[in-house]
This record gives sequence, C-alpha cells and structure tokens, in this order.
Amino acid sequence: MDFRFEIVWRYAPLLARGMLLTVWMSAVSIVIGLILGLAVGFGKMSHRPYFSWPMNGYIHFFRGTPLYVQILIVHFGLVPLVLGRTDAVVAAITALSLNSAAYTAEIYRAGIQSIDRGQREAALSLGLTPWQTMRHVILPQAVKRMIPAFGNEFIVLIKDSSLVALIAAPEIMYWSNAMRGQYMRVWEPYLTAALLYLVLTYVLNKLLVYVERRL
Amino acid sequence: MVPWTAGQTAMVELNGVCKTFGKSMVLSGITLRVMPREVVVLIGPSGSGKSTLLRCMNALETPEQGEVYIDGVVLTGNGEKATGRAAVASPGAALHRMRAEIGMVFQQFNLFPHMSVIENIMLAPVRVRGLTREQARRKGVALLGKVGLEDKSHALPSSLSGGQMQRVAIARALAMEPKLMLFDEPTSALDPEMVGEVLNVMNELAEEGMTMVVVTHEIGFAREVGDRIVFMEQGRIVEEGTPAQLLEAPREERTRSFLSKVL
Repeated sequence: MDFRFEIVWRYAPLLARGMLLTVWMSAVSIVIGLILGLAVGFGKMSHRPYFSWPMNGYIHFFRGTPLYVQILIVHFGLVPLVLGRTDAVVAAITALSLNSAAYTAEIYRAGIQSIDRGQREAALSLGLTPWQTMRHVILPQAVKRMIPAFGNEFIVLIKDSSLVALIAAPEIMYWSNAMRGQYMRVWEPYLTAALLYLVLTYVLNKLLVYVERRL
Repeated sequence: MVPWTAGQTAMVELNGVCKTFGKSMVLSGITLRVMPREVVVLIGPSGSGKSTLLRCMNALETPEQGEVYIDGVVLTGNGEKATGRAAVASPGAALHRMRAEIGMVFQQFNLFPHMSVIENIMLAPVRVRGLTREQARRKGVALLGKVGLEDKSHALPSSLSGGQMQRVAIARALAMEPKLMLFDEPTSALDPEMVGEVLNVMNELAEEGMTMVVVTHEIGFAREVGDRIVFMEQGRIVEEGTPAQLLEAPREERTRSFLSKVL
C-alpha cells in the first residue's frame, strides 16, 4: 500500500472546514439534546400518564429506529414541512439533537433514580418543596453520576454525525467521500477521516475526565 | 410526666388511620393522640407498622383512610372526622409549611453527602425559612455545640462515624425549630458503642420539653425517657400506657410475649 500524502495535503483546507462543521454540529446537537433530554426525561418520570406516555413513545421511537432513517425523515420530510425547503445542516442538527435527547433522557432518569430515596425524604421532611429537593439535593448528586454516561453519549454523537454526509452536509465524511471520488483512492480519504474523528473523541474524552475530576 | 389536660390541642392526632401497601394492610384503624411536651415511644415487632405510622405524621406516607392532625391542623385526610372518605394530603404549599414544623430523624441518617456538616444544617433554614447564610451559620454552629460536634462543622458526612452522623441529623432537624420531632429507629443502624451518644442527645431534648414520637427497640430508653409507650402489632395498637404499666405489668398476652423476647 502506498500512501500519497499530497492528496491529503491538497484536501486539507476542505477537511479542516469539514472538521469545523462536525465540531459545530455536534456541539449544538449536544446542547440541544441535553436540554430537550431533560424535559423528555422528567416527562417520562411524571406520574401523569399524559406526560409520561408521549415521552415514553418518543424515547422508544428514537432509540428503536436507525439514525440513518431518522436523518432521511428529517431531511426530506420534517425540515421541508417546517421551512418550505430543506437544508442539510439544519436537518443534520435537528436529527442528531432529537436522537441524542432520547438517550440523554434515559441518562437523566437513571441518574436521578439512582439517588437513595432517603435523600428525597430527608429534604421533604425539612420542608423543602419537591422542586427545591430536586435542585439542591437530588440533582447535584445525580449529575455527578451522569457524567460518564453523558461522555459516552457525546462520543457516540460525534461519530454518528458522520452519517449526515448522506444528506450532503459538508462535514468530515462528505469531503472524504469527495476525495475518494476525485482520486479513486481508498486509504488516503478514509484513514484521514478516521484520524480526524479519533482526534475529536480523544480531546473530548480528556475534557470529560477533567470535568469529572473537578466535580 | 405530662398531665392529660382536657381541652388542650393535641400535637399529633390520628383518627382511624388505615394504610395498605398493595394488598397488605399495614395500619388498620389507628387512633392515637400525642400531647405537647409528651414523649411517646412506639415499640413492636418488625412489620408491625410502627415506622409507617410515624411516617404518616409528616405525610411521607398518605393514609387511605382516616385523618392526621398536627397541632390542630389537618395534615392528611379530608378534615372532617369520621367520614371515612379516602384521604388526601394537604395541598402543596400548606404541606411543605407543615413539614417545616416537624423534624424527622431517620434510621439511615440521610445526610446530604455532597454538603459539609454545616451546609447540611443551613440548607433548610436558608431555603425554607429565608434566613441569611450568616444567621443560619450561627444557628448551625450553636446546634453543633449542643450535640457535641462543634469541631466537625466543615467535615463531610462520609468522614463521620454513625453516631456523629445521627447527631448531625438531629441538629439539622432542630435548625428548623420544630414543634414536634419524629425519630424512626434512630439507633438501629449504629454500632453498639455509639448508641449512647445519640440517646443522650434525645434525652436532653426530651428534658427541654420537646414533643417527641420515637420508634425504637431500645427498651431502656423507652423506660427512662418515655412518658407513654405504645405497643403495636400487625397494624394495630395492642396496648399503651406509662412505662411502668406497660413494661412491668402488661395486660395483654401479646405484649408480654414481645417483651419477653426483647428484655
């Protein structure tokens, strides 16, 4: 196998832009997923069936169907329905966020439910409201336990974002595919793409370890 | 000893309280009054419903039937005596206000592990009573002195012994200046050598005139500190009386048989 570095070098500016878009789409999707997931998670934990049933259905749908299919539905269905036309980056962020929210919802739920029942009872017995109990007693303990699971989810999201090359969002995989098409070569585009993802997940992992230690 | 004054409002009044978990009846029609400044000790075999009864007194459990009154105000139930309709808890805000007046100490301490000792004590006075952090801190330090832990203010709960944790839990409850203290087997999770330090604090509290309801297996404590002992079995009150009556001359065979096992 010969490896022609000059091809990679020629594509470097495009790959750099692709990498920026991957980082940007992933970051936005992580944030939206975290916020949406919190709502979905609390909805699922609700004792009121008109909250818990739809949220349960949401989680089942997004965890039980391929992200590939979800991206196509959002790109060709949902986004045109709302915007009147489609947009690859908007569709990509929407699909990744909706998908991620289903997973983070379960992480929130598992984290909160892992806190001993006595903590809640002690806080309530002191006269704290359920909201104050959640805010000052349960969440600070639960978030700490959620961080490793969130870390996994973020890393999966960065890697899964490669699927949006399918709808021509110009991120890392999109440019790698273009490179293969132009030069009819396999090793250069795909090994480079793999390396770029590895750099992203490695950096994120280091960041999470740092955050976990700080808390 | 507390005289049973007619016309005085009971600190706790339970009227025909029934509670089921699934199909098993845990409390079958409990009626009990605790007067201000009185110390009532609940004893009985495990599964007799004494902890559940205690938890009904601050609405951690909601009875299906019957009413619970705290200082004359309905906590759970529909507020009209002897109607037998399904009980409901006080609406949100009222419930939290009432719970703020009722201290509870748990078997497993339930200190907040992510907060230092002083923060554990300050949380509710700041968040519920609206004290400034400085006021709450002063109060917390004073209470730590009272339970003999003034030097542990900045320690984390995980660095304390069981007996120390339970004394912090008592201080935390007292910081709300409750008019009633509930103790749910406060010494059952402790190593034997630490039971005394917790009972001493409770003893002091009783001498200061705190109204207390205590679920315990410490018959010695019941005898010395209790004004009244209530013996429960299978969700019913079998017998109640002063420690002298109930421990020395129980009327019921079931009480005698229980006491013979624990004394």
